[in-house]
Amino acid sequence: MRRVIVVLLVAASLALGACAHKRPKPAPPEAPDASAGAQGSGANTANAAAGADEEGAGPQAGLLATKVVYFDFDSSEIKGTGTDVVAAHAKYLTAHSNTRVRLEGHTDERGSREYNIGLGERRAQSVRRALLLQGAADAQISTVSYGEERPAVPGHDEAAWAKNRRVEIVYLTQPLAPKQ
Amino acid sequence: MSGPRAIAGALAVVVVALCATRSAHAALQIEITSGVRDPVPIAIVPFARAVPADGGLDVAEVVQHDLEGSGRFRALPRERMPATPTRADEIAAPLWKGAGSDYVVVGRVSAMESGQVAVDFDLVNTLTGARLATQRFVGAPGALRNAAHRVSDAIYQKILGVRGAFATRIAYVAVDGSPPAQHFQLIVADADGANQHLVLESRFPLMSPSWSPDGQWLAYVSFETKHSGVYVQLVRSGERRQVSARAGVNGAPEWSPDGRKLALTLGGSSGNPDIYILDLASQDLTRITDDPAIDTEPVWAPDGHSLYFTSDRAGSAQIYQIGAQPGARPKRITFGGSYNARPRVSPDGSQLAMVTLDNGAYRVAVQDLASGTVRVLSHGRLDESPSFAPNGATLIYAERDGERGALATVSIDGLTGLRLKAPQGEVREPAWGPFSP
Amino acid sequence: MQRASDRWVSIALSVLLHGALLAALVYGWLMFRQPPRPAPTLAIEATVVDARAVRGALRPPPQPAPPAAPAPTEPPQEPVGPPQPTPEERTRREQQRQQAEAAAAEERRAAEQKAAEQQAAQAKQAEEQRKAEERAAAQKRAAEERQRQADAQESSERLADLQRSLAAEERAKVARSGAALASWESQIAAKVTRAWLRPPTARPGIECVLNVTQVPGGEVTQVSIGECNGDQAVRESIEAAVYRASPLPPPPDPALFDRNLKINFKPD
Repeated sequence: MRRVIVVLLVAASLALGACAHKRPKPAPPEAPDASAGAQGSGANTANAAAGADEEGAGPQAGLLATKVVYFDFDSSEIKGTGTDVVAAHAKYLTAHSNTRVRLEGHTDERGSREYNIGLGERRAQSVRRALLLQGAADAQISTVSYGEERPAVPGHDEAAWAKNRRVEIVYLTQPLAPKQ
Repeated sequence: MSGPRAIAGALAVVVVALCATRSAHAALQIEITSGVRDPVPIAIVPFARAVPADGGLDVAEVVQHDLEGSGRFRALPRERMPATPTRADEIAAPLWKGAGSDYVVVGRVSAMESGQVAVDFDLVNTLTGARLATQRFVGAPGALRNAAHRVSDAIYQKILGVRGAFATRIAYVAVDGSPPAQHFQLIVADADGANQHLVLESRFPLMSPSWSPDGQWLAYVSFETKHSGVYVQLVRSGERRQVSARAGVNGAPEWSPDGRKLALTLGGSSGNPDIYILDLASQDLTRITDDPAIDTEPVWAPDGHSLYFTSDRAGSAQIYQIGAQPGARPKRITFGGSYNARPRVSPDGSQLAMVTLDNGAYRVAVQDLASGTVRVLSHGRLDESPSFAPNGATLIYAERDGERGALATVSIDGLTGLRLKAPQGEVREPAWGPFSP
Repeated sequence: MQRASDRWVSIALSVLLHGALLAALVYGWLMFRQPPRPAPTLAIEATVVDARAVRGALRPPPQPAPPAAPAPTEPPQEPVGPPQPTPEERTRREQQRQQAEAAAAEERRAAEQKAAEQQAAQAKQAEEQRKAEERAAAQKRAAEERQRQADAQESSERLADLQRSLAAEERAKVARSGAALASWESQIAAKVTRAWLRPPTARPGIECVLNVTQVPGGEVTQVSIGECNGDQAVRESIEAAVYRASPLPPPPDPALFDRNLKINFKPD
């Protein structure tokens, strides 16, 4: 019985492997018009929209070099050094009112994926509120949650998980449009 | 004094007679209230080949893989087969019974003049010698594998009384590379993992594939704009449409049973995920939940009148049911344990699959909606994303196999089935498609 | 488990059995409550008679009547001119006559009295004898009565003992075979349960009856499905279960072997 399962596994893997090589070449990058129809081959390549969301390095002085806030399991509370990091970035944003950031919320891999999107969003919102409270403007901040989909560290233990429960403060290159 | 003795004697005779009669009526009444859910032993004898029309496909091997992968059958290894019949009348039933098989499947692949290929099979019960099924499937040579799956469906249905789901498809996400440089693909394949077809690939996360009821469209979440968006795509042609790219979270799309609406999660700029229903034709959006908690992962009940979803309004993730109209009040469904999320409903509406935290491990469980009984079906530490086969008899889900994610199937009563792995990288988030028309 | 109809049959038979036992016991009790007439043992058939009749019956042999005072029956000699008694003579004769009469009467009275006394005494004696005999007879009857009762008691007790021991033996036999039967049934049930590959459509509410025929040795030779509300898969599976369980386990007591089994599949 065991042997049969192994044989089947190998067969299944081979099947998957064999098919992987049939992957067609990626289509050339499309313009970011997501509602356009695609080629008849049935395969699509999705590409990042250029421009509005390009990331930059952002400020590097002191605490500002740290652009990650970490969280406890199942929590969106900013604590410890995170408080200082957020305070530093809030101060910077207040001082540079054209600067835009995107707050990217993440979770560790445990639990269901869409629920983790919600948890990541909660963490991003937590940092956003802290920034707003400390002087940043609403228009400067956008948020996105990746849930568990973009871990910082591969691994399946608490050490890795602790590093993945985070909000990343991503400075965007394109400044805010000047106020009308 | 013969009187009393005679009486005693007569009495004794009467007593004995009555007792004997009573015994005869009550003899050997046996009641069986349970059986075993062991796999049914079956022998699938290699089919007669049609070279070169069959393209080298071993039909019996496909059938054997299907039936064993369902968890409900155990196939006789070929080296232990006592004979190699290809027709029902060549089967010596006692021989196969002696080899331990309750059933024998024999068959023949033949090329037809039209250029099509025919698959004939017979199913014989070795215990009684009776022929249970004889059927023929005809199709293009390229569809021979699908014909083999139809043979598996027919055998499954005959023996278990439940429609087979072997000639169906699955969608899943394949991920290659390590974070942050990862490569995502959305793939459609046969239910056994063969015949893979690339639907979409991206450098950004792809999530939550969902089949339309007619099996033609997939809805999914893509982060290609660096923000989440919900898209629908026609599998056959690749034609795709963005249906929601609102500020905040756009996630967890699920097609309604009538194929006209999507239930989905929208977070908005306030960042509070709630359940909405989007009419695909009119683009009308109906809000279903309005609560500071995370409300997400909506899925339709088969009658289309209510939704099940995950919410942590009670402090931790639990599953609720709510009518599919605004103003409805949700009803909590799961009560066992501190974490129950990602509901999926069986096609008959009676069972709810979910991810549950079971002694520190995330596992796939099924709750009987009538009785509330919960059965944990999987045994890993990080199992997730259960999806019902369209016959409700099997679940596919994602598990972490050591370092890499793989897909696994399990029968609704816990008999383990297949495992599907990618040669490199991992696979996750399976969605089982509907019956082919 | 028995179905409802079987339960009624068993109840009916049970009532019948108890009724028969009860009837027999009642009949036996009735029969020995009144002892039958005892066979006669006295030589004399004693019947109650009247004392007067006794006297008459037991009149002593008539003794010759006491010679009555001889009535001086003078020979009639008067016709000749016997010498006529003188008045003194006459008076004296009269007196003598009277005295003789009186004496005779006296004697007669005495004799009568004596006779009467004798008769009375004899009567009394007879009476007493009769009474004594009666008493003896009564005593004898009583003794016999007691004897009979004792006998009857003993025999009825013996009968009761016999009945009890017979019933006990029957019960023991039924119990032994009942227990053995139950054990055999559960062995068969266990084997068939293990052999039943239960399909998904065998849900609670499904109930199917199989009539199974086996030969000594337990090999199943025939299976036929009776009442069954299961689908084809269920029917297939239960038939297969019995065949897979063949040969069925033998009974602990070979005398209990029965070719016919009824197997009721009722999934829970």
